[in-house]
Amino acid sequence: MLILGQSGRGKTTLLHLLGGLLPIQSGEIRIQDQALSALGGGALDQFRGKHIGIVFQRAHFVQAMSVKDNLKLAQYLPGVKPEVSHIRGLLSRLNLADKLEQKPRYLSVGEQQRVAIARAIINQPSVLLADEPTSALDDENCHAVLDLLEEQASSVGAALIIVTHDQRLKDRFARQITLN
Amino acid sequence: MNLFNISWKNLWGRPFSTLISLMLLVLSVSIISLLLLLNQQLDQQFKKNIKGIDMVIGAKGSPLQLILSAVYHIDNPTGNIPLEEANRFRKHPLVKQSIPLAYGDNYKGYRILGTETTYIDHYGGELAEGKIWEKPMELTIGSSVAETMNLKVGQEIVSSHGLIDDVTGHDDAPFTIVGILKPSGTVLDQMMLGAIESVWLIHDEGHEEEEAEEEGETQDHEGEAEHAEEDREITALLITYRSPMAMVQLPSLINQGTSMMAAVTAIEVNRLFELFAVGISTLRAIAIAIMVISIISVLFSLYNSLRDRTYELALMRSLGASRWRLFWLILLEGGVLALMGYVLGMMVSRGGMALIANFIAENYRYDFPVFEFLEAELWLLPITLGLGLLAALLPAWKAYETDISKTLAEG
Repeated sequence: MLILGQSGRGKTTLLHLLGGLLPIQSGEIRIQDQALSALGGGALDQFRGKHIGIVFQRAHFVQAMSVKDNLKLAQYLPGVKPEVSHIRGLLSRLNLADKLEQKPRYLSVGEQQRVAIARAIINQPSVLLADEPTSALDDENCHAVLDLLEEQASSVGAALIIVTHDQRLKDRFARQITLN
Repeated sequence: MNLFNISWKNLWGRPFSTLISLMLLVLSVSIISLLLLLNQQLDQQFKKNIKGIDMVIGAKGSPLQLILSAVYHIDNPTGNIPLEEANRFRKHPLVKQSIPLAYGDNYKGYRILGTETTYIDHYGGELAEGKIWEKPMELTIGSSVAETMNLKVGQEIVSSHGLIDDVTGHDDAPFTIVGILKPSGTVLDQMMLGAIESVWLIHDEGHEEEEAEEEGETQDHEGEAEHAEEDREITALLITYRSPMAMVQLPSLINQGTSMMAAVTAIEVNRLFELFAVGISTLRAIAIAIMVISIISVLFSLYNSLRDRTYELALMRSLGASRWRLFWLILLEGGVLALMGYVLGMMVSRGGMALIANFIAENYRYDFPVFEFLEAELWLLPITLGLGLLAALLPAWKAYETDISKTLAEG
């Protein structure tokens, strides 16, 4: 699903609400029959880590850690037992098998984006949220990243929600919401 | 993967500021630990060797010098006193025990001391092998001397004049080592002991030929030549009182009524400790100042790193870390830094102690234990750790407060 809208229309706010990063003031958001507003503090953080994967506009990592440790961190923090074999498999599916021990800052922007996607789906979330994943990319890469997101979301059975103002994406998705 | 792991990696993700904080911590911990060790060693060495000696009688001069030379063997004697005059006080009713000491020669810097066997008994010395001397020119030596100089029972050695190793020796009067003592942790360990007559003997015999070159030399050898038995000299007399009355009567009796001087050990050692205390408290103040600076540096290092890491922290929240998890993470970084500072500081202070011990052994023939662990040092651990955590508290709170939505949106 695509959420479209010009800058300042509240796209990111909506995404943060969906991801449980912002507290809900009225209404309700349910993910896997769990109302986010019913969860507080640490429980919400843990729920987010386990069931919601988020890909940000620019890929960010814990710089002091290797690619492998960044992925382990994504498993460890919400309380999933880190499994290196799982990480290895995921990275080789994304053609990143040789980057396992590298520090993220030595990777190219495209590689960083792929690692960020790997991190978002590592716990097999039910929802994959992406905030402007293509705005900084040229046409070719734009579609490669979209393919990857769709492919990875369906591989773990997650619903994909993309927030963007990028008009190139309009024709690819059947379900769209436009914020005015 | 655990919280410790993550904080460890974060610390070394910014090696420069972590190293500076660590170095300051190590410096302050090691100085404090070194001070504690030195203080304890000085205290122990001084008290152990003084036990039971209430007063020292020697030639007039500086009373502190007399104590240092006659009890601790680290300074030159003030001179000699006539045996006859000293003997009057050995028989004094207020004197319980008296040990005569006569210095003469040294063997490669180790002092050869003429005395009586009560000297060994006084310090609780026991034989490791051989026997206690029975006649002049026989020596029973301390364990450190035997080990350092590699001396065995039965070996013959030639001594040198005075207390400092030099070339003029008595080739004609070799000593024989007849016994080696067990280590006692007292001055005995670094002494070479023999009958008092040995010291008289070598100087009577050697004197005539050496007279020419010896003229103008120090008081150690003054007037040892043409004497008959009755004006024999000794260097000092170690006195133990029979009753507290002695404390009141004896010192003034000796100082005013004779050519000799009485130095009361308790008074002189206290004076010495007061001198040390100034130096030690100055160093302690410096160590505390460095500790404060190092704690501030830990605080700044963590606080600065947070500015660069705000996004990382928000990211970790989005990945499932709770506020408290981040709080503990930062606190742990401070704690780990302090713990490393403590452990490395302890190692550095041991290294420093080994250097000091080496210096003291070479210059004063004293043995310092290097790897002793003090109770006060155990207390230094919670103090260092507590200060490290305290410094991390403010940054940790800031991590707890991170506004994730805002930080992530600003990306």
